Amino acid sequence: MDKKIVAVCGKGGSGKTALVALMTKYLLENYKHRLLVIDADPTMNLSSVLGLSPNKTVNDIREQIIKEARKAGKTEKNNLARSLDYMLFEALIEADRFSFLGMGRPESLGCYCPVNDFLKSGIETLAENYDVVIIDGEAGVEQINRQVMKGVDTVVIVSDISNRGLQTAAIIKNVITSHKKIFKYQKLGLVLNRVSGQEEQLQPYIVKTGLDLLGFVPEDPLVAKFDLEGRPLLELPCESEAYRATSGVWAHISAPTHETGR
Amino acid sequence: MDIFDDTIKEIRDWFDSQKNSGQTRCYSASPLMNNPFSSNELPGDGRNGKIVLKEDTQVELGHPSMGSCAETLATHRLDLVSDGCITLVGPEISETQEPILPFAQIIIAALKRSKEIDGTSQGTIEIENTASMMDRTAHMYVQTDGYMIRSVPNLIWARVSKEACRSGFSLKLLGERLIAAVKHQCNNVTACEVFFVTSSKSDVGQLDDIVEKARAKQRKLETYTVGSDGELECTQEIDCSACSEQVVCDTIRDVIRIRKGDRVVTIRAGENTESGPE
Repeated sequence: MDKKIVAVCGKGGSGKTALVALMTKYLLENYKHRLLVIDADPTMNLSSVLGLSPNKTVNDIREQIIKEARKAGKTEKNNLARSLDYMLFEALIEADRFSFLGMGRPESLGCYCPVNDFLKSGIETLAENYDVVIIDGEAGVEQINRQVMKGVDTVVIVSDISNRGLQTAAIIKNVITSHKKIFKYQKLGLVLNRVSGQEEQLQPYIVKTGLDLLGFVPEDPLVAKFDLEGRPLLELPCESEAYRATSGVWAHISAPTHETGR
Repeated sequence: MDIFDDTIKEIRDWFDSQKNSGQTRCYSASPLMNNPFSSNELPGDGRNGKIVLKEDTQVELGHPSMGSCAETLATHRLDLVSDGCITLVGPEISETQEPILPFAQIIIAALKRSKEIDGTSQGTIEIENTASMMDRTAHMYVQTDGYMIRSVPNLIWARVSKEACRSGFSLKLLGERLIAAVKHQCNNVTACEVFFVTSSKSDVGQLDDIVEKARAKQRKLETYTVGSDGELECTQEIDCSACSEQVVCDTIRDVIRIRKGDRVVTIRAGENTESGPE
């Protein structure tokens, strides 16, 4: 299989973190891929949904680099160049059959673009070692582009079936397509979440977003129950409807594409 | 006496003191049949691409929670370095079932003596530069398939894959690769010796305390460079007014100015030494 880098974004509350967790479970249950999951959403919910507790985030490294760069001479610069892999490895959680990297929440004021570029190069180097990388992003892809990766293979925009959700999905799509030169991708598609039997009626609304549909994920009381109880979604039984729907979504994501955005 | 000689002697004393523990062994490096350098990593860009994931790892060396120490030191005294010798305190990789081991890796090398720079600040700087080059060599040139290093200065964190273990990877082999790589990369090295510790966190900590003295000298030395006129120039790329050592530098600058013309100040073995015309 070709390497796949998938970014998942969408309006807050649309269920993108749950979808990332479900895709993680699907890949672990069905494939032997080397899988890296990156939580690039500053709210940092993904780790608990996957049952992990990160001690260190990429942002902690960012703060350390900024602090050291303030007083760095020639030696310290050399040391920093060499230390990036070590620091990222410290932040990497190697769970059972997949790895996890939490980006964290930026604290220092200022854009620190070179620091972000430096970190991004380290993350991209790390990601080269995995077959599949899934990134849980913010609403749009700006933060992924700034801090995680220059580009991905597939962007998945998640929406619930509300009008506002679909409007936001269309806006995100417009932003992404208008920044094609900055953020590279091959495939862009929509996943509709918490659908309960309205697939037919939703078609005109999907067309309006201008996005290809990657799949529906049904409303699943089991997911809601696990969420409420704070249980990792990786422990969901395989009968879960939401989980079962993920296979269809993944089939669309991994299908070859003829689009040439990337 | 060269700048790191005291530390090298202390390191050797420490390893000698471990000989009665029954955990120490010495290997003689055999010449490598293959290229000692990594097949998967080209030096130069400062990044380590390949990683050995936890699920593929047989043993992890120097995990941050277990104790880690890495150092490279050089001297002009050939009698302080036992060429080709690899000393190990603690278990070899094949002898342990532990998934994580503490790890110390110390490399020492003897350099060609040159009458012109012997005992001068240039000699000290040659030692320091070679130690830095050795450090970089240990970081960049000895990773092989199944042996991954993540290192920052003073610390080393390595993983040996199950596959590498099955293929016979050992600390003896790693030592041989390190010696070959250092000799290949550092033209002025005439002898090289490697020490490893995998016995305990406390042993690694004791060694770390010993080499810390050398690091302090190194830090001090790295602040200065010798100009073409023999004067020492501060190389800190920070605003002098923000430097806590500003008073020292200002004073020494004044001293140098006063004595300029008939004396120069050189730094040798971490201390100021005045030398006047014969």
